[in-house]
Amino acid sequence: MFKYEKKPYICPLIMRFESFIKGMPQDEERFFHELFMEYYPALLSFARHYVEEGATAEDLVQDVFVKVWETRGRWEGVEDFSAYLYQMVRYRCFNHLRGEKVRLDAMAAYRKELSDTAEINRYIEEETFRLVYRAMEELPPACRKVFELVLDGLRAKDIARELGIAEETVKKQKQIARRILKEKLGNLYLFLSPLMVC
Amino acid sequence: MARFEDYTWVSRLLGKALEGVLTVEEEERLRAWRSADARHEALYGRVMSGEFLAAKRAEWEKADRVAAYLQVRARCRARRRLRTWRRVWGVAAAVLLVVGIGAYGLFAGMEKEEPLRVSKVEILPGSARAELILAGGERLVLGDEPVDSVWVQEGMEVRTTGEQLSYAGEGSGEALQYNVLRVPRGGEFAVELADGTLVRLNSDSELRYPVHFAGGERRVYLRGEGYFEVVKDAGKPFVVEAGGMEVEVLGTTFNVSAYADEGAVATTLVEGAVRFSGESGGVELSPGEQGLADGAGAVTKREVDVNDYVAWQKGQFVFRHRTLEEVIRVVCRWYNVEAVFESAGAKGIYFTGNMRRYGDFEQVVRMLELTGGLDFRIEGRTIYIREKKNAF
Repeated sequence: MFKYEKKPYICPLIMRFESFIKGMPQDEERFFHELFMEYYPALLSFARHYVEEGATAEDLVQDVFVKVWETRGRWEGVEDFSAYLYQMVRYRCFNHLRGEKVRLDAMAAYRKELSDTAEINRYIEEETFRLVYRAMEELPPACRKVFELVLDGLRAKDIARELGIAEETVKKQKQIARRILKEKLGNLYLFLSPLMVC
Repeated sequence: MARFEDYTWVSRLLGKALEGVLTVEEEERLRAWRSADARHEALYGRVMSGEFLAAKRAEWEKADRVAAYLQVRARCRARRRLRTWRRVWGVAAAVLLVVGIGAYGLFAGMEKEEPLRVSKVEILPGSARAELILAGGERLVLGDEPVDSVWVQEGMEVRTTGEQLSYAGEGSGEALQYNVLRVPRGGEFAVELADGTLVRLNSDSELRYPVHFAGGERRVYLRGEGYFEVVKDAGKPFVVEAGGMEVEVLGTTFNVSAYADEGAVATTLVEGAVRFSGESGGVELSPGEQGLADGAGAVTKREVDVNDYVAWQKGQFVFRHRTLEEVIRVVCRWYNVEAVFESAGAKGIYFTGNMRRYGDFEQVVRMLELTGGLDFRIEGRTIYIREKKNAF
């Protein structure tokens, strides 16, 4: 029987292959669940760039996931789940804005203002945070505390005071965190390189 | 037109930049991207600032993932039901045809049988249903309405799919928090424990287990019958306590039957090795062997045809030279009916045969009747059994 294991960091892309090789319907469910938990907050944040009202943004993102589930027969053809999900949210938001009878010319103005770069940058921004958040979750707890503060911009001295530990310990944890992240991200980079050629 | 997939690499590099783990080559690549557009540089500046992570984290924590997931699953289900009903009418004709042929076959051979006296109460085979009792005493009904849900308990994620409950995650805390999965008469349910071990529970059974396993062993408590597929963990033996007996394993597949009304505890080993023991001694079992502890706790072992004892979880009843009393007990548990033996002699009649577990109750009774010499009468949910006066 296929045993599902939570894959650190790289999960959606790697998992896609593992679970589809085994091809069991219950894995589809687990994959979907994982996908949801992983992307929901990021997509919600992304949708809010288009639709201000929070509850509406939630509905729209949920619409997208319902769609993703219903088209699960086609998952195998998806090259990059991250991009795919954001793209779907983007379309759903546009459709909603149209449906809301927002005047078309207002819509056009809105779109003119938003050049592609702005939209792409939002995608990059959400994804960056998702990746960092994911990586942090995988660090050992002591390491993680220190590293979170490092990322918040605190210096070793302040972190040591905040956590009540020696400055040396802070530096050590920082090194450990960097080593772990490097290991994980190194593999990721390798894995993604074919995608980056295009 | 924005093609997001062409920019996934940028977020990967920014993530690495934030964590301070860029390689020289990657740094070069990122620098090229930054200088290509002022807005790239602006994004880089924003991401690298301390506020970025704090603000985003606050935003993420506001999103209720679990509640949202439940909503999405409910919507997926509602839509599926709609589509299924449309399909059902197409299938209905085919089903009717098959049923018609089957019924003809059945009744052709039974023309001379007396019609069974069945009252109006519909007796259905067992189905997936159970009650989950959480550590705090809260009770949840599972199975009836296939609720797909997920919630978090003690750092564990708990999911139910209408037939099975699963626990996944790391778990937190050293003190064990117990859940109880209780399967009523006429029910069956499965649970995947925190270590991945799968337990299928038969009707009128109950399993008490910790939400996650801490310490040197994995110990659970069974009443009734369960089929265990234990995940191997040499450092943490798995122990089933049932009817005053203990079954200790490292990782294997076996069936434990410990119904109070059976008066004996039976452990049947499918594969691997287990130790089956009680206060007055124990035995080591090999595949194909069954350990038996009688009411007094005396332990013996014997070789059995394993399939007879594990067929229940594959949708079959297999009875081999079992007394009618034993057979009726199993059947009653599954169909949630009561049996009354009007003549004591009927209890001791031996019966051998296979039956489909999900079959119609009437068919089961007819099969038992075919053994001859018995008269069954059903009133409500009670079945009266007596020997025929002039059977031979």
